[in-house]
Formats: sequence, structure tokens, C-alpha cells
Amino acid sequence: MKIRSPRYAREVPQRYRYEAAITSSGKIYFPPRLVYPGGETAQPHTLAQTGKVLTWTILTTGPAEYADLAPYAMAIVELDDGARITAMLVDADLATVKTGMRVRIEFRKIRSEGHEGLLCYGYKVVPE
Amino acid sequence: MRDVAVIGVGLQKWGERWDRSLRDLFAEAAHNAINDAGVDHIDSMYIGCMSSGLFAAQEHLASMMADYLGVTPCAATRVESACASGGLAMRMGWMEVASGLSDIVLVGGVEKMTDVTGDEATFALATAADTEYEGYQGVTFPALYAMMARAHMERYGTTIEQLSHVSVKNHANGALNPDAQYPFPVTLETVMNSTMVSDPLRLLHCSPITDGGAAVILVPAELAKSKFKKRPLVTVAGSGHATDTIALHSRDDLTWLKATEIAARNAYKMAGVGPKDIDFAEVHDCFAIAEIMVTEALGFFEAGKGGPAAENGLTARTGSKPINTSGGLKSKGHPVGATGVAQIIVIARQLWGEAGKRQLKDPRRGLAQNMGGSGGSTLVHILERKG
Amino acid sequence: MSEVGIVGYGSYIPRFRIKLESIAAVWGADAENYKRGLQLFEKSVPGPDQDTITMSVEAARRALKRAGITGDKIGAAYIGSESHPYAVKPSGTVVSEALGATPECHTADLEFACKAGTEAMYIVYSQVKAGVIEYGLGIGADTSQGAPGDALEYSASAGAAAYVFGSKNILATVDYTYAYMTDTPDFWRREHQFYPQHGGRYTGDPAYFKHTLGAANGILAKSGMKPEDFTYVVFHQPNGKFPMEAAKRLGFPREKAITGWLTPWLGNTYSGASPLGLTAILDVAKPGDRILMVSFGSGAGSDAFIYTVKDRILEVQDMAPKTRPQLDENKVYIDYGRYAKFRGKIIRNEG
Repeated sequence: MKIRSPRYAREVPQRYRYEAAITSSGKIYFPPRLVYPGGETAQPHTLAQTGKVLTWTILTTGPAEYADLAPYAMAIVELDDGARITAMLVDADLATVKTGMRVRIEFRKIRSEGHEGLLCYGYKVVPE
Repeated sequence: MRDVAVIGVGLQKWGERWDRSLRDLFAEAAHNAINDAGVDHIDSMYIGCMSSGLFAAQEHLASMMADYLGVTPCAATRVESACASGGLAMRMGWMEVASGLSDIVLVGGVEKMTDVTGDEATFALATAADTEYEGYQGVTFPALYAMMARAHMERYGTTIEQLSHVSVKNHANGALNPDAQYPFPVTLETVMNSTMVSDPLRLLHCSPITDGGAAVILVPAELAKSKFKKRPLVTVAGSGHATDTIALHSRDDLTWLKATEIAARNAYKMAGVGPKDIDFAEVHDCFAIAEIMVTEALGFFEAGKGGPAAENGLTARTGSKPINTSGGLKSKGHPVGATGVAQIIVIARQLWGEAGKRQLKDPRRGLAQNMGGSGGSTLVHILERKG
Repeated sequence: MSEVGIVGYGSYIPRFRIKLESIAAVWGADAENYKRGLQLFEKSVPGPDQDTITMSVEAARRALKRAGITGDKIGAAYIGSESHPYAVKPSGTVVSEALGATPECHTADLEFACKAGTEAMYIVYSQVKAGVIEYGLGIGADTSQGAPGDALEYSASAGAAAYVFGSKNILATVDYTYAYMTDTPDFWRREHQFYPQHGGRYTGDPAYFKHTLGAANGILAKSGMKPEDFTYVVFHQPNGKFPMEAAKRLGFPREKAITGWLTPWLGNTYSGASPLGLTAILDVAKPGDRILMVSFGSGAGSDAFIYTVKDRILEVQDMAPKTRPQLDENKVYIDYGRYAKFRGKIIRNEG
């Protein structure tokens, strides 16, 4: 299914500028929400740009739009502010990917919607 | 709330059924269940199906399936909870009978997955994850479970051999199941050497793409006792339902299936039993690691001990806690919406003594655990034989 | 009007490299001949998830870091490239959005072969000097293509350099600027064509040298300066040979041109070429150093700048990744097959 403009544009503050929210109890939500558990309210918060890998895998085949990147590493990263993201881990020798490794966010092209569709950008992580 | 009995079941051979459409798969399984039960009508029906829209460009299954089962204008409800759609259909059907609203309810599930390309199927399945914050980022389902596997392995020392033992066991069981997609055994070596899909999960740690349907007939226990006596009375002793965060990265503990723990706790409480009272279970082995983590969350084994349990044969058909005597999703197949209903069929048949070569000795209580996505939703049902 | 100059600078070079030998082997060409003739050994290759926009964002983030300002202070941002990812929809909007410069920011994309980056720098410099913006961002970035088997395939590479201009906290003043431009058809690409066309040897003296030397001599005359007055000189560098030849013809000793000379290991980053060369110089420059920069873009024209480095340079050099380490370290060599795949040179099935 091709990503169309409204769906893409709405997530730009998160994908380009890592805009998140932090509740009064200190929990970070990325993306920010309309409703938070327990009736809490939240303030704007920008995600930390660096963190560590909590767990990872290397995909031999990815979804069609990502096929040219295979094999590629995916990781769940805990950023230094405690927030967690799922991101592709690139610019690393796949044999060196391991739990605990330090990474930082980098702006990359995530996918193209065919030859005529949108170019979709966002965040990946690279070794720090 | 009334006690609810399962009195009839129906499905067909699962696999790449080029010869069967979405509507045929459901109608066939449902019709078989109606005949098996010996009912002459149904009051209502539920259809569990994850993604007929993306797989077959067909929604409005309520109307379609009632029509093609020949029961129009029967009330029909399609429910969706990703891979837990079938288990959810079971709970909804059980609620409708337990509440007294209806007396004869058909609970069915179906998925037609081979009318699209492999890439299209992968995409449809990926919608069970967080589309914008997981799928967009590049994950597939094998990748999500692979990350859980790695976290589990690094925390508890679970090994790839232990994961592989799960696949071997499930195939050994499935080899005795004529309706299974892959009714043949596999060796540990074959599993461990199969193609890598998403490190550390290999092809034979992953459930397949399958076409299939499944259906059961539910009636109040009193009606079963008076009118449907050909089999021992098997009732729903407990039902539990819980959700967890949609994204794996939002979970409290990447190595723990919390929705399974909570749903099971609720089902155990309703049934007035605990994990040790369950004689056997059908669990959601979408990936081998899932079975290991589920057996821990169900309370069968301590956290981190699910791997050794599988390796040491505790979960084999002849073990102390048989898991997936049908072959599980791995060998039996995983037509997503049908899986949860088929689990009920397996439990019922074991309790009735109709499990053929896979029959356990005198089981009294079985548990079905059906899970959506990477654990974002879970349904647990406990069935008991009363006689 | 007070001084105007560079307030921040940043560079981004992708990790992948392909050696000249790998390309020559596929086309049955004499690698040593090309290496000697071009003075070029290997070039950078963008990954499938990198393009002019992604490299510009990272280079600009580094420039903002060195500038010590947040993106919302940018009043105008221009990206010069001949490989903008969209034909219509500016790279500038994506980059400005990513930097937090939106919505109060001017942008439009620039194209002038390899000199679009320096044109971007000139425009924002001028806007700051005119007092209509406080800070401006000028970026030169490219992921240009060379046709398979063509001479340009050995050199067309990828990289980005970004410059924040302002009138406060300057790390290098802009003392003089000069433009030398004519209509010279040495190299072009028509709409809907995937690869450019070029005039072979016509790209040398009538194009590169005429405009580069024209601009250099023009700015030297305008400023009354001579080669001895400069610490560094950096030219557009489509290969390793041309910039050194330009330096020689103008009377600059080789040592002054060496620091900004990246092409032998980087390839030709087109709109990024002289801007990246300048970042390598700024990485090691000392207060008081004077730099001459002359770009060249086919079509054709050259932009010249004279900079004087200020004290603040020493505070900012280490604030972001330097250029030479990005060029020399953590390289990943790929073969021609992978290169062709990354660069979209293989005919694929649609959808």
C-alpha cells in the first residue's frame, strides 16, 4: 500500500525532529498522544539523539520497499532519556551489531513509493 | 452467566488451497461444524478474520459468510484482533451464549492468504504491528519475534537448540494430524540449518502462510446435556482477554508476554484453577520463541525456563505438560483468523477422546492461548470435560 | 554594514567507496590509465537510503552545531545540487523542516551543475549582508550519476557541505566575492534523461579553466591580492588533475592547494566539491589564515570567495565530525554490482 501525503505529512514532526511528549510522572511518549494513561497530561519533549541497543536482529528479507537494503539490522534502541524506538541500524558491519552498542540517530530516506510516489524520510541509527 | 458447551467442530485440510476461495473456506468449515454438532439452525455466528480486505479485497464478512453458509438473515459478527481474531470470536460467541442472549452460536475463523504475492502477504501481516513506528521503520513479524528471541536468549541463556526442539516436537505431533499443512516430522539438524529469516530465527522456526477455516458450535451446557449427548460434556470453564502495547518497544519487559499472563490469570480465576491443573495446551507458536515465552507467561514454567522445558521433553505429547499436540501453528499451519478457533477444536477433540493418533491419556482440562501481533492482544480459554 | 561571514560549517560523506579498478574491470578499461589521467583512486557512493536531502540534513545539523544556533534562527536555506531527489518539490523544504527552520524561512532549490552549492552560499551571504535575514544556510550536495562506461562514471560521487552565514560569531569573514559566468555548453542533462552529456575535451580549457581562471583573476584584481597573500586555495575538483593545474597556472604552490584537495579519494561531489574542500581547510585552519575558493559549474560559471579566518575557528573545529576523517576512516568498499544496484543503474521490474 503506497503511503500518501496526509498520512506522511502528519508524522513529519516525529520523523524529522523527534518531537515527543513527557508526562508529569516522567514517562516519554513517542509519538505524543491525545490521551495518556491514568488521565495524565504531558509537555513537549525532544528525544535524545543517542542511546544503546536493547535487542536486535538481522533480516535476510525485508518488506518489498526495503528489499534493496537487505540484509539489514533492526534494533530496539533505548535513548539516553529513557525513550525507546525501533529503528534500522545502518553503516555498521553486520557482524559487529550487538546488544549494548552505542548508536545515534541519523536522518535517512526510509522508502520510495515507487518511481512516481512520495520520497519518505525518517530516522535510522548508526554506530555512535 | 450460563455454562457453555462445545458440541461440534469443523474444519478442512489446511495449506495452500488454490481450489478454495475465502468464502468457500469458511462455508466448508462452518458447514462441517453444523453437521458435526447435529444442530438444525444457528442463532448467531462469529467470524474471526484478520485481514480479508488486504488478502482478498473483501470486507463485510458478516453478510458474506451468513449468505454463503445459507443462513441469511442470521446475525453475524466479524471480529478482528490480528492473529487472535479466532480466539476473540470464541470469547464473543461464548459471551453470547453465557449471557442467555442466544442458544446456538457458531464460532468460526478463516483466512485466505495465498491469493496475494508473498510481499503482499508480508505487508498484510505487518499491519498487526505499529504501522508508523514499527512497520515504517523496516520490521517484519519475524524481525519482531527475532528481537524478542535475542532478548530472551541474552537474559536467560535460552538457546537456538531449545527453540529448534519446539519445531521438532510440533512437527512430530503434526505428522500425526491429517488436516495439518505439513504433516511430516523434521529433524533438529534440518531446523537448525534451515534458511535464516531474521537472526536468530530460521525458516523452520516460523509458522507458514496458510489458507484455512475452522468452526465450533456452542450451546448452553443444559441444552448439551439434554439434546446433544453423543459426546462427553465439554464446557468453557474460563475465558480471559487482555491487551498490551501495540509496539514491542513500548513493552515493560521485552522478554515477557504480559497480555498472556493477565488473560491467563483471568481465565484461571474464572475456572477456579491454576497452571498446574491444566493437562495440556494449544498455544500460539507463530514463532518457536513464542511458544517458549507463552508457556512461561501461562505459569507452566518459571520465567526463563521455557527453553529447557522444551528441550527436556516436558512439552512433548508424552511429557508432563503436552503443548501443541496438534502440531501447533508451525506444522498445522496458521490461517490467521482461523487459528484461535482451531485451537478450541483441538482441545475439544482431546477431551472427547477423538484426537486419533495424537490422543492424550484421559485429559480433563485443556487451555487454548491465542495471541495477536507481537503479543498486543491475547485470548485464553480453558475447557473442561465434565463426565 | 558590519562584517558578514561563515558562522558554522558542516560536512557529510557517505561510508561506501568503490575503487577505480572495480569500475574499469567491468568496462574493460585500463584502470592505471584512468588513475593517472584523472588523479583519482576511489570515490564515495551513497547508500540506497541516502540522497541529496539526507546528506544535506546531516551536514546542516553539523553546521548549526558549530554556529551555536538553533534551526529556527535560519531565515533562508538554499540547497544547490544537480541531483535533487524531486524534479518538482524542493529539497529545501524537507531540509528546513528537519532543521526546525520552518515556517519562517525562504527556500527554493538551486541548480547550476557543480557550482549550485557556492551560488547558495553567495545568496545567503548577500541576504545577511543586506540585512534581510539574520542567518542563512547555503548547502552544496550531490549524488550525481555518471553514465555506465563513461569517463564520468569514475568520478561522479556523493557528499554534502553546509554553511551558516551571519554577522555575529563569525569564524571566517567573506572579504570579497566575484562571479564569472557565460553560456558555455560543456556539460548538460536534458529533462527526463538519467545521465548527463558532456563535451569531452571541450570541458577543459574552454570551460573549466576559462571560468575558474577568469573568476580567480577577477577576484585577485578586485581585491588587489596575489597568491602569496593566501594560506590556502581550493578549486572545483572534478578530478584530481584540474584543480592542481589551475593552482599551477595561477601561481599557487601545490602546498596551498593540498588541504582542500579531496577528489583523489572522494571523487567529484559536484555541488559539494569546492564547498567540501573548504570544510577540510576550515577543519585545520588557524586565525588569520586567508583562503581563496573558486568553484566551477558546467554551463558554465565560477564563483570566487576570499575568506579570512577568525579566532572563533579554534572553538568550533572539534564540535562536529571533521571532513578528512569521514573521508579516510570507516570506509566500506563495494564491488561494481553492488554499486550499480545502489545507484539504480540496473533495470528492475516495476512494483
